[in-house]
Amino acid sequence: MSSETLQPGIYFERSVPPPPAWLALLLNASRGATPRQVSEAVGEVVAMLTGLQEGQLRELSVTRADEAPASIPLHTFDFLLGFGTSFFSPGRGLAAAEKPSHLVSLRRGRSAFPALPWSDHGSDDTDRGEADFFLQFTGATQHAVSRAAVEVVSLVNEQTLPLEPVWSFDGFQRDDGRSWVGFHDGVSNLEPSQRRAAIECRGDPDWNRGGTYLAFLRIDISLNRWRTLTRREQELIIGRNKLTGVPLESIDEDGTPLTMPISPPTDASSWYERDAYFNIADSGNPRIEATHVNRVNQNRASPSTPSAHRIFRQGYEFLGRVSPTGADVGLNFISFQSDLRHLQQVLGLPGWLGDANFGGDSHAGQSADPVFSLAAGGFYAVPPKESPFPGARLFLAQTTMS
Amino acid sequence: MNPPGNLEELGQPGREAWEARIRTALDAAIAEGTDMGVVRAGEHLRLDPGRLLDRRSLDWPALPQHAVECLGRNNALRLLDWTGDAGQAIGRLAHQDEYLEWRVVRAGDEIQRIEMTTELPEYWEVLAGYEPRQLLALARKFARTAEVTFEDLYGSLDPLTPGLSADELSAAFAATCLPKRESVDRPEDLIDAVGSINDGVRGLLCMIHRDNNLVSLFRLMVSSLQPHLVVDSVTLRPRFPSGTEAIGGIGAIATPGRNSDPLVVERLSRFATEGRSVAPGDPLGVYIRSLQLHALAMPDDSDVPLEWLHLSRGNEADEERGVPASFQRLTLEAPKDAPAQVGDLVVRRTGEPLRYGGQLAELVQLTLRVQTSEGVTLAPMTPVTATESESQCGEHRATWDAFVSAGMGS
Repeated sequence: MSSETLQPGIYFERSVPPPPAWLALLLNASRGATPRQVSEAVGEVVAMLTGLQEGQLRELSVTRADEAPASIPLHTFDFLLGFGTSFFSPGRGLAAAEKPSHLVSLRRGRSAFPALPWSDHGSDDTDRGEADFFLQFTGATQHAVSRAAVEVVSLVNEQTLPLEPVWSFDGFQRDDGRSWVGFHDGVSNLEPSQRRAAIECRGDPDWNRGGTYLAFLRIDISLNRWRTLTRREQELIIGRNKLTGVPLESIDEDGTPLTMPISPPTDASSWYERDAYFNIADSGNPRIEATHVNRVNQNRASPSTPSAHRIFRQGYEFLGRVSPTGADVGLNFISFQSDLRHLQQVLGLPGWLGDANFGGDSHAGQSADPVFSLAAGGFYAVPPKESPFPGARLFLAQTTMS
Repeated sequence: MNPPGNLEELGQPGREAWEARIRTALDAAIAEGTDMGVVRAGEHLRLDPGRLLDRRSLDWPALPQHAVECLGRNNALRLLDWTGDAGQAIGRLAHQDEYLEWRVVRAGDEIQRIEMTTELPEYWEVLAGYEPRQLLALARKFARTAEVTFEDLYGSLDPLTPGLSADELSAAFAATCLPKRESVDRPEDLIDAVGSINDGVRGLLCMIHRDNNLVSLFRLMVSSLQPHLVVDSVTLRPRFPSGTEAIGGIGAIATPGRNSDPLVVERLSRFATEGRSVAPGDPLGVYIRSLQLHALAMPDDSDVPLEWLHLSRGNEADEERGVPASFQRLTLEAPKDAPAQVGDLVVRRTGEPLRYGGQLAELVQLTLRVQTSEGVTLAPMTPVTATESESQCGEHRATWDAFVSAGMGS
């Protein structure tokens, strides 16, 4: 099931769950640098990170003949490299390669997505999730991924590389399989045998064949708003029983959501019950169909069916600021998909997430007080493995900027 | 069964003829399926929904995905809009195969409007047979001129001649306005036999691609309604097959690589495995469920006003009665006093200016509604090893080569 071409850091194999710690470091190429200079800089960064994975910390390099090398724990993190929309901009003069058609900035328009408004942070800084390069670090500990990011920044500064770190974001996996809204999360991800079909790009442009596309959406969750809803209201937004995770099937005359007549799966569960729990059988009930778990998979079809719009999710929660008014929490939504159109469809189509903030009945316009809003975000192409680094051949082979 | 879109333009004889046409098409699909070895062909498919209370929608984007997969998106967009010297829609006839076809009206290079239809040719044959005056009125409306005549629709036959049967009128319409597939294969030749009132030169009446019709739709549905389970290669547990696995596994009459066929096969095969009976939704047809207008922008990046979008040939939703909207025709066009034209719009998802009909099709969602029985009775069966069916690109590449040879490929 392993992939020869996908970069590490995409945990689609059944036996390899995502590690608990995550950090994204966004960098821009320095203005005025040539494509070759930037390419070489990226190569140096990748080489350093590869050495770091092997326990080689530059700070602990041997400086005297009588010294024994010191090392750090090995293989504590994975990293992958993505290329953002701005990298392909003709005005930047960096890319020789054709920009994928749906790799666009999320700044365009009043809202990146019709039912997911930008968070009100009191600033117009809505491009915080976009940069030329996206380095994703995933690892066993927060220290491992943080050290990797710090070493990148140190290298850039010490060697005066033509790269500028612009933003970083961090997150963590929970230990309970739930999200900040209290419900099970990641349950209805894809069957292991079908994940590669959802993830791997099949070409167009050809240079990304065997690669993938990463969507990064840092989603603020208003817990203050969410916790004003009753459990019934919450369940009719999400589509599962809050405690058991069993999908809803119908609503009784009192408006109480009723679950499917199944239990959370065990080893003794039948294959059909497992399928109904993880893949949410089509209920045929319009109110149930309007819940989140149904909206995101309206067509109930496999990744190899294009109109299924299946994506592979690998998100990480975050805790931001804590203040007297509450805690800023949310989700670093990360998805990998063979085609960015799939996520754009999921977040744009009415009946999917194009007309509901997260789930529940559709609304004609955006809520004035949404539970979920977008703090930052960006799309990135994640090229296939290549020497000396993924995406090396995307750079213009010239020494001067046009 | 109500006419498509719940249209009320057929009198009682026409409605009965339409129902008979549906029955004939279904019987033919069942017979064909049986001949091809489809197990219990038609057992799960009924016309009368009766007690089939669960309503389900099978939705897909209207952009021909098979063309995109075979040729790349940029080439596919260009090919799908290929027109002949007089404006005949060659690309449409060849590869607009997702049960929606479009016509792009340009002034020079700039798009003035885009028209789209999901109307079944069989319905238009019935309309032609029973309501020739209505047919003429519609054709004039779509062509935006009163200069459409009966000859444009019926050829040398005058439909108002006493004593002519509906079948004769239908046949004359089909001979004049629909492609004839017996003798030629190349779309650039086939389109010449389609009258200008429907080949895109002067108008767009109904669909003409060889698979965009009632017979093909039933063929797809009947052959898909077969129980099938596969063994998952990782978990080794049974599971429902994907669309491409089902196409290969049950021999469904479907084309892998499309948006529509694999989805229909996957969903209907699952219903059959679950022991459900299925009926097409009433009214039968493929409908335009939505256009994501928010994905288009005016030149100043503001939203495109709703008044640019016209949906017709169907009914509005009636939520009180539980009747969904069922539109078959979409037109995107600037109002007379608008500061821009369709060709000035920008597609937000790509940053591209709107240059091709396919860019709009990419934002259109189509729907095929079905009704199923409730409850699940799994068919007793042994799961088999999954086999994927691969999509074939020979036909698309041949059309592309012809497109390039015609000097259109640069």
